[in-house]
Amino acid sequence: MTALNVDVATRVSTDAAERFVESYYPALQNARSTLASYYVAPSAMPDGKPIPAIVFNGNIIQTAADFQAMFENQMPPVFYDVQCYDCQVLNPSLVTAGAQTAPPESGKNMTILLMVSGYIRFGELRDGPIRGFSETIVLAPNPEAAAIKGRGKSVKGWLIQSQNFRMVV
Amino acid sequence: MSQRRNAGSRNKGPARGGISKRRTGPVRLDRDGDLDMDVAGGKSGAGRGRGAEKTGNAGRDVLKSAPQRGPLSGAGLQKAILRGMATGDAKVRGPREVGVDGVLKEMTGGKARGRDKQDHRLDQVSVRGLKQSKAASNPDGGLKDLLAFLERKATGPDTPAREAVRIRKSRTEGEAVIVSVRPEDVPKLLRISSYTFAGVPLTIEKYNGPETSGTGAAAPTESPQVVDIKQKMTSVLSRRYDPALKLLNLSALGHDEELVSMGLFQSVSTESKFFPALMKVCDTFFSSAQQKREAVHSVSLANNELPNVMSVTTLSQTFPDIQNLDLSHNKFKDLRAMENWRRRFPFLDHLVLTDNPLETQEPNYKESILKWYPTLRILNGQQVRSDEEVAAIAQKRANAVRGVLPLPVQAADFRDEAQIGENFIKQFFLGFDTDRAALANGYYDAKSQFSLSVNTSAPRAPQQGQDIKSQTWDAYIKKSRNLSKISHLPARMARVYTGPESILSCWTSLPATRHANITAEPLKWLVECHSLPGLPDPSGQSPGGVGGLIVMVHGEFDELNVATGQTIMTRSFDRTFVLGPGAGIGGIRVISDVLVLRAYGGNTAWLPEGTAPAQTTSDGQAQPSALTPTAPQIPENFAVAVPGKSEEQLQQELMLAEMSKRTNMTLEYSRMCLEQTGWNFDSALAAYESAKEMLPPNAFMQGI
Repeated sequence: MTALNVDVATRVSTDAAERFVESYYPALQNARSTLASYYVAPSAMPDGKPIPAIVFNGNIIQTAADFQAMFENQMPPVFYDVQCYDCQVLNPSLVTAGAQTAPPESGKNMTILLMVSGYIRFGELRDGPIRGFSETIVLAPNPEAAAIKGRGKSVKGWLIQSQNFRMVV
Repeated sequence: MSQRRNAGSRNKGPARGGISKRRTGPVRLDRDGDLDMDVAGGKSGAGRGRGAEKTGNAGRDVLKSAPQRGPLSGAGLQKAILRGMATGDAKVRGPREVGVDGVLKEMTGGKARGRDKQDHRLDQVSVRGLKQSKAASNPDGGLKDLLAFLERKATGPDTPAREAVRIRKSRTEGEAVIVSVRPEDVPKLLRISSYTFAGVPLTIEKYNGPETSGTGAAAPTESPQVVDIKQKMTSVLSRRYDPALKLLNLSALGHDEELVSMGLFQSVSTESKFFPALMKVCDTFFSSAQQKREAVHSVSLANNELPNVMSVTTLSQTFPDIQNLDLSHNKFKDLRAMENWRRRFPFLDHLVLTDNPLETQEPNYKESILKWYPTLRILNGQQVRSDEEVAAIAQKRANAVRGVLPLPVQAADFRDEAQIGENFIKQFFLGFDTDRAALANGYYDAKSQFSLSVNTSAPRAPQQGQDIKSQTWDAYIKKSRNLSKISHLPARMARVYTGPESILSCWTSLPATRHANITAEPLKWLVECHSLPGLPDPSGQSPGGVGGLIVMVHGEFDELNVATGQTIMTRSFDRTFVLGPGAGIGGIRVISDVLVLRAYGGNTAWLPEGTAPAQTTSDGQAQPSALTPTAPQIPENFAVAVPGKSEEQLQQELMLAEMSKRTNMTLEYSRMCLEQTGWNFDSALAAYESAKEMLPPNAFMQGI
């Protein structure tokens, strides 16, 4: 019943994932003041749980602003190497009440499940300690991107709705 | 750390060129007077009174405007150092002793002996044949070509640059050229014996001392001269050390009567060795870096007419952690004069560079200085960085060194809904090991998706160094959907499996597995979950989507040989499920299932901090909860001097006790805090202040 073809779904989701990975992880290193802009606007689930959901090594971070502040003020210099990532379309067309949406067949309303596996190297030196991480991210369409037709490449197409980071090695 | 790195890079000097001393370190002395050699000169006479007078002030200035860094160190420590300074018989360590004596011997023995002395870390090899070769008619007797030839041939092709044979020193001894190389390079050189160089076969042998038997054997015992110099230096140091200010005042050394009377500044040779020797003597006073840190906070090198820091550069090795450094009244023309100390002194808080020509000749030097010294707060008495900024930097850096992220590692954030997540995980992995078909049909529907990817170069468990099996991923790699490698759309489409049938066919092709029992071995698992909105509604009634659960699993499994039941290999995995309402078992369905496979990475990374020692118990013990308060127990004899307890340990325990007292943190957390800051009490306290809001409840002592 969705008007979304498999090839469009694959192309849109993997392109979005690629663009996200190539932008977000470098930002964690050297554009920490922009981090909050990667997250959906604060809201709540029907039962009151905060959106976006951000979990960092088991610590629940309340808001994207808190997350950004943690990186700006406390995070040591780190280098992220994304070695492996994969994604799937979660919801082919999420309709947000009241928000402008793109045509369903464009795929621009989809939510995306992204899994990233890689390592963090600490410090400014090449020989800093290395720790493996795994991160699961759910990306939701950015309502602003749907509002701006065609161009507007500076606007992110998808934003973080849920994020769970774990050091695993 | 940076020192070690620097030592390494120093060795990367040019590999060519047959100079007789190939160490590229800055041994050369500057002509016009490191350490003010021309004491007798009229101009220094004029400078003398002024210098001496300034010295005390300058040194004190440093301290006055600098914050008093914590009165934490025991008075006992101070006394010990004083004792050491006064008598010179403090804990003297074997290897260091050799180092001091080596330098001192060089100083007393003069040039010739210094040169013949065998370098401890290099072996010597004799090479014969140069004199007979055609190269002997070269202007330099062919030495340069010979050395280049030896390095090239001994290294051989296909050798990584860092393993290349390099000749560190060479000299001629009669017919032979004696070359010094690292011990591991000796066999490589011996192997090319009889190779033809410039028409003559070379003879290459291990060098067994000079042929003319004789005088050269170095006496193993300390000469009276060495003892004398050491004592004098000790006396100079003790006179110039102020225990109250923790200041080592090395200003105006050229005017120091005692040093002058030793004749140290009479020749370029002894003068160049004076400062390194002085530092070596300093080293003998301390048995640990921590002691040094505690004893010497400030150093003044003011009024030494230094053109640059080359001659005193060893200060940054002996006292790398000083906080205050006075370099005023020297002759630094520009920043190049300080190049050797660029990014040294990682804890530098206050630097004085006044009355150096660079003030006017390089007006923008302050910007660079700020970059070189990220914790510098005060430059020439003016605050250049806020206290908060510096505290944050110090904390970040301490974390980076240890590989620690800002927040402590917490137990799993498992925010389940009606045990849906818990039940699913328990059944899923059991089912995956025993009956994949039932699993696929029980939880997956026509729209469920599965994909897997292999992180072939993931980091491995830290302890696994010795048995690194080559990871073969043949059984998985053709299905791997690592999007950083799989870039073509058709492949990206083909590697997602949709619907139970397709998913099962993929699973069936994967090797048999045995996952650890999650109830019996919970530490091997980390499972987290929270609710997720906006999932597709199979009934189509909620366009805004329905709520569900996202479950993240990290764990390990044995890959089995089906025929024998034997474990082929243990691997680690990360797997995320998105569960929504559906027609499957328990009224749920798997919407998405993303699996990442990687080499075994162990489970230590997700054990909550403070529980790490429990990691080896895999005997079914329940995972200790991070919320279990740590009993505020003080071990017997803690922070009390008892026989057999080292000075260092006692100091650490005193610090721990004090830390715990001031912050109410447990000893365990106090230790974490102090370790993170390299046992610097004040930094640790600052770190605590900045992080206390985020510490878990179990970081603090209960009750009282």
